[in-house]
Amino acid sequence: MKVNTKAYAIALYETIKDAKGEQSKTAIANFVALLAKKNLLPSANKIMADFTRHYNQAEGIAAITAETAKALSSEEKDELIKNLKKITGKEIELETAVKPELIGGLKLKIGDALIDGSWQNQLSTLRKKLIS
Amino acid sequence: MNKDQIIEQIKAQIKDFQAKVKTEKVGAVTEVGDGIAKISGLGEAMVSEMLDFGNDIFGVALNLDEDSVGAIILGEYEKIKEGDTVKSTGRILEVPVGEAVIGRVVNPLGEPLDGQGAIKTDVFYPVEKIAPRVITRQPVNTPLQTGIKAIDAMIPIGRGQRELIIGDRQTGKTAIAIDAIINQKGQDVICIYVAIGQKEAKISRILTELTNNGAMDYTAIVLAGASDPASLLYLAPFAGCAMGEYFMDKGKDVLVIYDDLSKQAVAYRQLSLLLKRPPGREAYPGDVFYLHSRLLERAARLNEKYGGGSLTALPIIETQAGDISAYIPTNVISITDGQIFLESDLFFQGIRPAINTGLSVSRVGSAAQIKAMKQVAGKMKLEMAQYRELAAFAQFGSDLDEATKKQINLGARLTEVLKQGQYEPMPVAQQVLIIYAAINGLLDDVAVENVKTFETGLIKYAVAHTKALLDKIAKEKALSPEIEAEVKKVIAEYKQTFAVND
Repeated sequence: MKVNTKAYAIALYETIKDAKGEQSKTAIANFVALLAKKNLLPSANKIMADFTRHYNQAEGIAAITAETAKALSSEEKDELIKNLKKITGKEIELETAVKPELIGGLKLKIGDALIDGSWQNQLSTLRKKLIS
Repeated sequence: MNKDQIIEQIKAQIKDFQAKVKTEKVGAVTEVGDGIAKISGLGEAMVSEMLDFGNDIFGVALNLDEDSVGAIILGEYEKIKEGDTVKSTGRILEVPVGEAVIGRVVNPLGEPLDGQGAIKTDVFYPVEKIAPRVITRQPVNTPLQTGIKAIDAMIPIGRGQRELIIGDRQTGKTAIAIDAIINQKGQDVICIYVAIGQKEAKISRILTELTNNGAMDYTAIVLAGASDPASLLYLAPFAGCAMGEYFMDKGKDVLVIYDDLSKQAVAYRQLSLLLKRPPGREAYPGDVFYLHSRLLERAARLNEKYGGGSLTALPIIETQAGDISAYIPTNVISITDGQIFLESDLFFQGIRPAINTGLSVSRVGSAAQIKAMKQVAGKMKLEMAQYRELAAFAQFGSDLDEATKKQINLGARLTEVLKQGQYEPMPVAQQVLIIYAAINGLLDDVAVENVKTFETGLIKYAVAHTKALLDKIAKEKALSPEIEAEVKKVIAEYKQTFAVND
């Protein structure tokens, strides 16, 4: 039978949503025991991923990855978060990565969507335009 | 142009350049191999949308799952690594079409393979297109002359028809198709030859033959060779069809040959199994019938309101040991408007083209023949059927009554007349002449082994002495009593000289 990992993730979220302190710890322990009983531990990673996605959606959080050529200073980060918050209207969970091959600019990943404002991308677009 | 000018020009171009930053939907490759890729993400991908793998490698999304996309890769999948970014393009797969592809050899993506430079055109047609609807069509009523006597006389093909050529390996399937292309010279028909999974040596031979016969002036070859990825083999007929549709929409007549669809089905089976679609009969996926039916349905004859163009399809299917009841042959037989069945037994008896006239049919029938041909060939199919039946008995020899003997004599001569060499298509007027002679018993006093020489002689004589008569038949398209009398006279005249030379 195909395992519906999403259903497990949603169930877990619903049980620990309103739980406090010790309660959530027991709930998670129980959940893991249930997975073990149902032989579902191999799909635990998938359930975790689904849980994160569902949690972010339910709590209004946008997980965004920002890639830059050089490491961002904390002021730049704050500025970026502030702007993203204004655009998306959601709480921002920002992850940063340094990719020197971008040369300059900024590349944002929001789920499936990609906003590529890096110099690398612009230069390759220019190259294509000049060749054709 | 000197280099300063070039630099200035580039400077100007760069000055105006403004890269627009836009949101794109991306995914990441999670699995790749054997010409297919599994991609996670790509939330809004559409079925048969083109996907950009970067480095000028493209793919087509075929399977849309909850959180992944199964795609076929068009090109070298060895360069794609796990984790690579894949962008959706929002376009469905298109091929360049237009006059620029005529005389060229291209791959199913429209890229040139003949080393004669890029295909310069700005018209693109989608590879998958809905077939012309019923109000745009009209019945098939104009013949498409193949130049092969056996076909034009007994299994006529009309413009807009789909006629299957089926037979074992080495029975002359491709030969019929190539002859049909060569015979379109001067007929204002555009030909597209789609080679699927063929040996490239064979294609090179065909290309030489077509060039030598001047047929490349109106022919394009779409080639997906035996060593190309299965995804290209699967796409090739659709690409060829799209190139033909351009001319059909322009009001022209098009002949498209798919050589052969059994290899395309095998390629599609490979892709489907790798994409984990469930296998059905002979391990083909459930939609293999739809694969061929939607392709062949695109053959059409449009009515005058829609330009009056036509697209004739000659699909080829290779059978194993004459088994036409295998899955793919039965499918395609039921889709097409008839089939030309080739047999290796006949081939080895020296009856070439090795057409089994009993099993071959054309469901469009005599609507796709000129009147003159109808008049002479009407009885032919029946005579041949009776001959085959009697010939089996006659092999036991001994006493046969007069009527049977006559029937066998006639049948033997007809069989002889229907033999034809490769790359020797015959104009329809000449066909009418020789078939008229045979069917009306005017060859009965020529020995069976001399029929062939008589035929060549008669045609040569007619072309040399009574060219006007042949032109008249071709122009009036019917045998009026006067023309018939003339035809009789020519045959009688030649017979005299033939008897003298004999």
